[in-house]
Amino acid sequence: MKKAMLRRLGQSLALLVLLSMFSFALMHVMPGDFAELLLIERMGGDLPARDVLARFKAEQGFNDPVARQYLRWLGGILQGEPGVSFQSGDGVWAEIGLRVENTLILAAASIGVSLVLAVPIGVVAAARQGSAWDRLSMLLAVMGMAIPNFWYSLIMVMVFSLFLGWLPVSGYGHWTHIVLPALVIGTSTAGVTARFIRSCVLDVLSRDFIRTAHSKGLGEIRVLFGHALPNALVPVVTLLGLQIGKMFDGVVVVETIFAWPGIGRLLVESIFGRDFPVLQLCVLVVGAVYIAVNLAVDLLVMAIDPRIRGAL
Amino acid sequence: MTKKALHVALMAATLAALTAGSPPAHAIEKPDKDTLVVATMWECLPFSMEARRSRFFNESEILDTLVKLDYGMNLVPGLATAWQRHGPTEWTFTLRQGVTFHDGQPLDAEAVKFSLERVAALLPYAGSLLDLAEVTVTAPDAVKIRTNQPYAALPNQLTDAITGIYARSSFDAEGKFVKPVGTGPFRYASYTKQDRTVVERFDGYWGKAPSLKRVVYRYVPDHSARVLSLETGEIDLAVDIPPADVKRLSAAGSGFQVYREPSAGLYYMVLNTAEGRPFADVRARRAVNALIDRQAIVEHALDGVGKPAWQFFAPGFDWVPAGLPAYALDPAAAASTLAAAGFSKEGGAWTKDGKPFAVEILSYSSRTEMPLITEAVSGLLKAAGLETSTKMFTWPGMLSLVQKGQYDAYVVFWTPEMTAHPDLHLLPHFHSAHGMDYNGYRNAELDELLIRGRGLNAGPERQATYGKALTLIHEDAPIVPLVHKIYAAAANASVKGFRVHPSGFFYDFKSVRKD
Repeated sequence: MKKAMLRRLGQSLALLVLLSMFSFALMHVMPGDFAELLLIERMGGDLPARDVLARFKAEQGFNDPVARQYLRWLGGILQGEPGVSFQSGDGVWAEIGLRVENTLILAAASIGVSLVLAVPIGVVAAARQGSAWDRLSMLLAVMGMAIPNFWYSLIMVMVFSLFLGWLPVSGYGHWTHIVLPALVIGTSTAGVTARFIRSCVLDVLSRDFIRTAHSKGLGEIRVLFGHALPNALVPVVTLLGLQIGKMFDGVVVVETIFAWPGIGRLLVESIFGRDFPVLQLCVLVVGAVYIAVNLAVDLLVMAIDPRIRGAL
Repeated sequence: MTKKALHVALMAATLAALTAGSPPAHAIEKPDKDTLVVATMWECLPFSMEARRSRFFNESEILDTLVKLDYGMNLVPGLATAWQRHGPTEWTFTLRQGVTFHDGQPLDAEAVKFSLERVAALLPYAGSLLDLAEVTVTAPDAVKIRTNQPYAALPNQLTDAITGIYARSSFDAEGKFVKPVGTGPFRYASYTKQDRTVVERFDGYWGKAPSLKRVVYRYVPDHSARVLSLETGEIDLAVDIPPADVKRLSAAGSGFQVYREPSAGLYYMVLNTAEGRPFADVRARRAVNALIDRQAIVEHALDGVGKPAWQFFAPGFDWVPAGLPAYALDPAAAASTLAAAGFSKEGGAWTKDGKPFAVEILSYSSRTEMPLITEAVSGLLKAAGLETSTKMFTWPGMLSLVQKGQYDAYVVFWTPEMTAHPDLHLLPHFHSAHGMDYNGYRNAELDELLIRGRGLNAGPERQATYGKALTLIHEDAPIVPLVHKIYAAAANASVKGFRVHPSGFFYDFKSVRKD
């Protein structure tokens, strides 16, 4: 068991190193000369003359072999000095720390909203196939997938901010700011999660131990939530892991509309602005989050399901 | 039946919980009478020392510059009350008396020298922007500035936001930047990353004191969210609003005021003049200039928010000589020019030597209006019989193709009149040694005129020099001017006295009040 976990950890670390190489390589693969773009920023937007560019490249070490540049960059990160953002002039860690924190807050709130809706709807939909609950779960799932988030977000803003006057349009820092983005993301993912829970619970409901539970005389609620749901959880936890990962790079539109400083927006901004120091670390952090979430999901699944414990 | 009713009730309760789990009314903060809340598209970064982003120090008037631009884009005294040129490369600036910094220290020549040398050090590779050779203190209220080359545009460049004057207390003992301390009407109060920057009225300001106590710059990157924030009353003024909202908010009875002012900024298409490209022939370039209906672009791509551009600079500047030629829509003339260049029209399509007149136009999508303008240009040329296509990139992505010369034409945006001197953009874009447009365009006579113009003071000789230069650019047609930018902002009815600065770079809230 311990050995299996250590091996899993080692794999994750190796993956991280590969990822760091990949995110560094981005600088050389993306169109546009990195050194020139850096110089354009330094010069306040003006394009540099060719001789000036050559001097700059030599002075800043851009003519060194790529391997040496990579080691210098990695050294900087390990020493806590991964550089300064081209866009804001702030340190890259400060830039990313704020985003990670806010992304975690948004992720927790939206997945909370999503689960509060999806668990009861999904379980009841499974128990009552073809009922109104079942149709509601289907409706939510279709709407969540079909309605684009930029439109949905603006409609929510119009209803809750403009017409009702309850919530601020955008910003962060006060608890009222989290409500709308969390509702948008939570409700738009709730349907899919509910349908997923429904099918997992349905699968479990046909098992022998459910029949046994019924024949013991347990009430329907106890059977559904005490026996069926926990046994259906393993794939659901995996799905939630994927959804958490998505929060780190897949909700850019919502973050932009609500001016929520999440890491997804930082990633996109740094791509558009060719803010390489931020971009490289962003890719690394988002990748690390995926790796960490996967690891956590695996460990959690082992805790939930005794049958899987030896499998890793 | 009752069971079904129970389920329906449960569902309704779930939905109700979802919507009513919201906070009570009045959760939206509304600014008070002495506070102006402005929503901006870019984050206002008070601690960034990166040259471009530090403009905010000056734009928000925390810092003053030596020279300023009034609403007619004329040079007016800022922290310097007078300036004089003593030779091709030598200038003196006399400083305003009785000016104090926000920390109570008086403004003196040492502070000016310190600030200008700091900008020069921040821009070690940008020689042409200021071209400073030396700043010397000659009296407590006078500095002498020497430039490397004869440079008549120096006072204009000293209006640029990056040349604002700092107090020493902006930096700590090690020279590290702490916060912006200047002489402006507003002083720095606070900054929340990714959210807001707050400035407060400075009562010791040398000019007329502002009536507002506080200005809050809120960062709202989404265009629609900025307008919605204005409509909910969270903010007082939204800048850079989308053309569609300009129309809606301008409607009578909307309760909002919309500002639409011409501002420095030109959308234009660069034509690749290299051999083997369709625009190597000057006649093809002139024909394209006469084929594009700028009015149609403004109306259909920009919802009417823009001004058709027929030349590089917006008319109205005293250095744009009267009677300067401009392009005009003239399909008939374009057709005969193309025929003279060996093209012939068959079945509505222009061809030469059996090959179609094919043009691929590049642009970038980080500015929302670029794809719209580029598509419009492509459509108009296609309707005129050219075989056009468009390709969208990020700015650096497009730039890397352009620098390699792998393009026929590309659409860009620049601010040619930003400091009200023609040199700032004529030289880098059209001089063959600078060649910022990477279109292979060169004209030895123009090169000579542009270098000469840079050393000339305002007057008939400068007028004639730039007049000739702009005429040569018109005849050689290396670019297609498309649209002069119109700067759009909107405010609620309580905001009084706001004006859009034509440079497009200043938040002038000194004379703004709220009722």
